[in-house]
Amino acid sequence: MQSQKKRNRWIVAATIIALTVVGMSLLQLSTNSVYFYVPHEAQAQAASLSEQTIRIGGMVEGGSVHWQAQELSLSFVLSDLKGHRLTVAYHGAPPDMFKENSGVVVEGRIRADGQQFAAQKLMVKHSEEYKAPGKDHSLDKGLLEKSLFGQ
Amino acid sequence: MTNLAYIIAAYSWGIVGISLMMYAVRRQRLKLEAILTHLESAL
Amino acid sequence: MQQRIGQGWTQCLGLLLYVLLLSLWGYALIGLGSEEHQGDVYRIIYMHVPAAFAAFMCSFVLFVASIYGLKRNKHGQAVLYGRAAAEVGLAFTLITLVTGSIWGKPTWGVWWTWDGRLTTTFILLLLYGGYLFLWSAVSDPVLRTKVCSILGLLIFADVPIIYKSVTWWRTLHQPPSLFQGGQGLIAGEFLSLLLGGIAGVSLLALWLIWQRGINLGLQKEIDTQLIKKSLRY
Repeated sequence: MQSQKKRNRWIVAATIIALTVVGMSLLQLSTNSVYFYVPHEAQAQAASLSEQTIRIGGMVEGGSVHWQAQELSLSFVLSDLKGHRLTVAYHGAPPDMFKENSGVVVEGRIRADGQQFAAQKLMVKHSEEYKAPGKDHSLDKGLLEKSLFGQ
Repeated sequence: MTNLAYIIAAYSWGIVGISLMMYAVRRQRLKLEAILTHLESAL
Repeated sequence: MQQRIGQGWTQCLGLLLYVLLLSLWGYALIGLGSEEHQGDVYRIIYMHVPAAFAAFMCSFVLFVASIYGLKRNKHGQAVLYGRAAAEVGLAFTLITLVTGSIWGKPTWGVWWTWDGRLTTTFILLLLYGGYLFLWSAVSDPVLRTKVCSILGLLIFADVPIIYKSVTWWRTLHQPPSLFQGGQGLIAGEFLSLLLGGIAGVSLLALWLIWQRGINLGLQKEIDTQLIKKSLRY
């Protein structure tokens, strides 16, 4: 029936709009409405956060990456370059562009004491600069730090 | 070129998508023109 | 009829833009050198960013058409351009999301994440889709214009949120590289090509809206004439 078809389409249209509204509000309420914590925040609330899956954003500390190819175990230190550090353990090969002295967002669980993090996912965070390769392979750290840790 | 598959996939998606839109708009125009011509000549 | 359809050169204009863009992309793939941090895969920027700007620009056209639709409350030609803008906007939003995801996998390590930028852009996709569904769901033209125009305003409101999302919230997606007050975040040649791509795709999107809008008008004209004809018998 024509009217049934029309009614169905109404329902679908209304559902899409409703889902959108729900989505927008969920964005506000989900995971404490913070996409990722910075190290000192996560460590300060580690006891209460240790029960959930959270994300922490920071810099991969130079010289801290240890990769055991046989066991596929990776560990490194996530730091805010201001003294707050925690060790991240991850099972699996890191993303292609993962490297030291660069940005990363880890997703997983923090230990209640705030010193260790068991990562389920590693995401490389890039800065917003684009340039031709230079001999020194410099990275404008300031930009990356700003987008991770704020002003 | 590193990551060539990704580059090709992304460009294909964009170029094919845009090409389809251009083709569709043109094809529809030709069809509508034909119908209108037919209608007006039948008056 | 020629008056309604427009001269042949307007159609050639679209073809010209298309060819220019293909050459721009050809150069982006072959002529340009690689990038310091991302190697070669950064080249996706020349498809992803222009598509995003085009999707935003479609929302502006939709906004103007929606204002017109609410004020005059008629189902005139302006409203048809609104519908065309929603269609083209949907397409470019989809291109943005897909090319962005393809770019994300080798650079971030993931195809998707629900951060502020990606989520609000996904919402834009749903909104454009919802607009088109609403259009076909409502049969009364006056009500349809009203309801779709309101949604058109909502769509336009989402765009600044998408743009600012990387500034207001912490996101995986990079902060803006363009129009940041002369900071030189994008090196010379990369920048001019990107600006060219944005201009080219935006103009092509406008042309597509224009042509599709004319088509919708012609379709309506045909329907009107057919009704007139059938009423005579």
